[in-house]
Amino acid sequence: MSLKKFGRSDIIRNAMRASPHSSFLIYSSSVYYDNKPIESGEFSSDILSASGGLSLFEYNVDRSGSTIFIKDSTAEDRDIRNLLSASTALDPNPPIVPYIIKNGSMNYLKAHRRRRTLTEGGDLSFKIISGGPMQEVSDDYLNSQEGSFLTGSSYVMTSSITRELMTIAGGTASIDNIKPIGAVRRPNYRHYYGLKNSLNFYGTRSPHYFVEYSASVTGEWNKDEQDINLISVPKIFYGTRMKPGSVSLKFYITGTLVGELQDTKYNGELIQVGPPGSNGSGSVAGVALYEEGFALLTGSWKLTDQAFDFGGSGGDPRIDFITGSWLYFAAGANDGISGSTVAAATTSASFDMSFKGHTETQVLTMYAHARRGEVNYSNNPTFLDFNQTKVSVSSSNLYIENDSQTIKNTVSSSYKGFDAPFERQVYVSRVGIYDEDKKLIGVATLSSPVLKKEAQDLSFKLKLDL
Amino acid sequence: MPINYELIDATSDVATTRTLLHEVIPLTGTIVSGTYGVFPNDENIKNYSHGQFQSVYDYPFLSSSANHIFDLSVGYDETSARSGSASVQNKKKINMYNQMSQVLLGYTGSTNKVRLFESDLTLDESVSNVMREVFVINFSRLLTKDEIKKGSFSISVKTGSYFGPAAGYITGGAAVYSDATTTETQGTLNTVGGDYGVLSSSTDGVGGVVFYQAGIAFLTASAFSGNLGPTLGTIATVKAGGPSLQPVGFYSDGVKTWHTVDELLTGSSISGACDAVRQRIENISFNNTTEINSTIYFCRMPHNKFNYSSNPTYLSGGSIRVKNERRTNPPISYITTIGLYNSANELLAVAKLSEPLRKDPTNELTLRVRLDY
Repeated sequence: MSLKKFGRSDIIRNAMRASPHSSFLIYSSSVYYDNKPIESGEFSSDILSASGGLSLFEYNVDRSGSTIFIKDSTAEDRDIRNLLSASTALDPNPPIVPYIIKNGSMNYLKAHRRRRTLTEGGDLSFKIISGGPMQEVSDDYLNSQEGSFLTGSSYVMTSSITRELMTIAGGTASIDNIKPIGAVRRPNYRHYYGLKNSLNFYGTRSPHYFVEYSASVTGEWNKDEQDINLISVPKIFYGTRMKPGSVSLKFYITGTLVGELQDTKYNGELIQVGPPGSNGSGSVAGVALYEEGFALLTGSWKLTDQAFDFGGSGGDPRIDFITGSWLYFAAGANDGISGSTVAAATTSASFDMSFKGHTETQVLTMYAHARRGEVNYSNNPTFLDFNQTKVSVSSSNLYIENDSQTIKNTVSSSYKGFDAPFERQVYVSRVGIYDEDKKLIGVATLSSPVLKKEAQDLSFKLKLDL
Repeated sequence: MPINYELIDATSDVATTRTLLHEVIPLTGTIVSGTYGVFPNDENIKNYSHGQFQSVYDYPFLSSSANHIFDLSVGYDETSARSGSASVQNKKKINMYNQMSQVLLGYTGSTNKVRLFESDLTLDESVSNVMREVFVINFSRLLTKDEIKKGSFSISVKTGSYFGPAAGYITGGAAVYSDATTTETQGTLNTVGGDYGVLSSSTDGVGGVVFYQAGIAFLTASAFSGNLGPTLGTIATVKAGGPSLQPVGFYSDGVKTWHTVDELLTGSSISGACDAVRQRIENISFNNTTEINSTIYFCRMPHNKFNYSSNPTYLSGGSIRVKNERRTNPPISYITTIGLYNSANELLAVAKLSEPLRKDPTNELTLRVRLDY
């Protein structure tokens, strides 16, 4: 088989920019992504367990229960097995579970959240005991024996928006073993603290980003002392960044729009643009962090005259039963407020968040040319006439192939019982791509074979998204 | 922007590893028949107009969430007693068998004859071992990944007699065929289609074979013989003690309440035969394998380097914040990120630590950066 080298103009590299649109509807403590319903199955009320977001692999569909791990201690190979026996009782549809066998490679599957103690501060003065989202790093690995299996928790890896209402966002609390009391205190809302640098950084876009600001035109504020409603959008929904000018937040009561925020200035300010004449119209209710995927809402003006329960508990009057404002936007979006604990009034409220993302996909385009007089032979055994002598001479010293084998005539005839005159032609079914060492590194297969006659020029356009 | 670079020595700082990731795949009979819709018109079963095989999904296939899990088909060799012009879809069943055996076993002899599936690991076509009639279970690549883990495959099938829906479906025992005697290094035969192992049961003998890399299992038609069911080639007999002394049978086509395996192979279409087999599948279970190749870069931080940070917050009023305004205090940095650069100092990749790591002149660190392909 002959190989052809790509010419100078045969390989083109491009970046394809796209702006994928995402929308989230929050109603009665459920999130609906891109207006898709939460599908109920025979074994699970949410077949993807994605709660209004994306299921990363969509692997364990409508599965529930526990998967039985059976280790065959009598077998020569004692690795984990799940061989069935006549008495094996499986759950009706148990999930697929990953595992890895411990060896010297130090590989493990992240499975469990861990509680850990950090010793920090000047002169190692205080400890932080954190039960946060840090994942198991090595405890299971270190405690298990060589050859034992380390399982992963679940394949249902999902992603959705999260809402966090932070009352007095800059508040701090005491921490364990603190020596100079009052010197450094642990922040109540670490997510807000983590964003403070970014907020000040983007202050060049708009002063509304600044944590602390004072001016006669825009007013003065200190975000540390404000209540903040933080909406977090995972990166998988927007790619590199949210597209400026595309963010829209809508607040509905019984299906009627009572407030809409848009970043109409393309600078991250979330300005109330509707409905016309609404309370707070034209005011900045918060800012969007395009690159980080957050919306921080501070607008506390009334959007409704009537009071509603936005999922508070413990008798906090600020969230238990209160008039609607942007602080309660997206109440019920994975914020711990469950539909069963919310008073009926909250079901009157629904929220919509939409935006466009920004993705760049590197695209490699290759043109493979089959010029006239080239690519006219096939290595397929059926290319030659059947039942021919393939080897004319074969001995201990000599091996000569038959050089007069005839090619099968595949030219279509219009008449029955009449063979059309022979022509050299092939059907091209795939294009192989080789590296400089002539190793096959890629294959492009055509949807249907293309006929190439000897006098024809053909060019195949191959595209590869990286 | 890094303040300095540390060269990676290609001989001592770079290593490659191969990791095998496995998944336990349980496929219960519950989803194969009877859960999504009424058997045999289950909504997760797709039949095609070509009629050559039947596809099984894990959820009604009209949903975009459904995953294809396996295809079912049936075939026999042209030398089988079941082969004949009177058999329904005779050519398709022969072609199915031949296609599978061509791809998985290849050819033999001076006439390049297609090999036959056998119930042992020697392809000698001994009469007692050839499997001329097979049910094919072709698993999706989504489930088998790189290959089925050797020694982990098992399938449980009901072997009792079919009495029809009114009488309570299939009664009697079940046979569990597995490749438990197979290991990663023993108990398989390598063919053109990859390695295969034998599926057997201590009580019911050999039930078929499984091809690990191809992800295809074959059940011989006699795998369903069991204690109550009709053996291949025999005439169904009357089951004593059954409801109204009904004869034992393999399946019902709705007209006649019992049929033998023979009748299934000759008188049923492929999709009809697949339906009959489907309701007899009790459980399928195997582990898959994914090979992950990795490169590990050992990033070494000597005691006298990386003790400073270019983060703007590192300085306060021109002095290093962590020194607490004492010049004699050692500098401390907290490492959060490792950047991998090429020879032109262009950033190629970034590795993040799960938590910042303290670095000062009294310690040396080696961070292990793993890049999976």
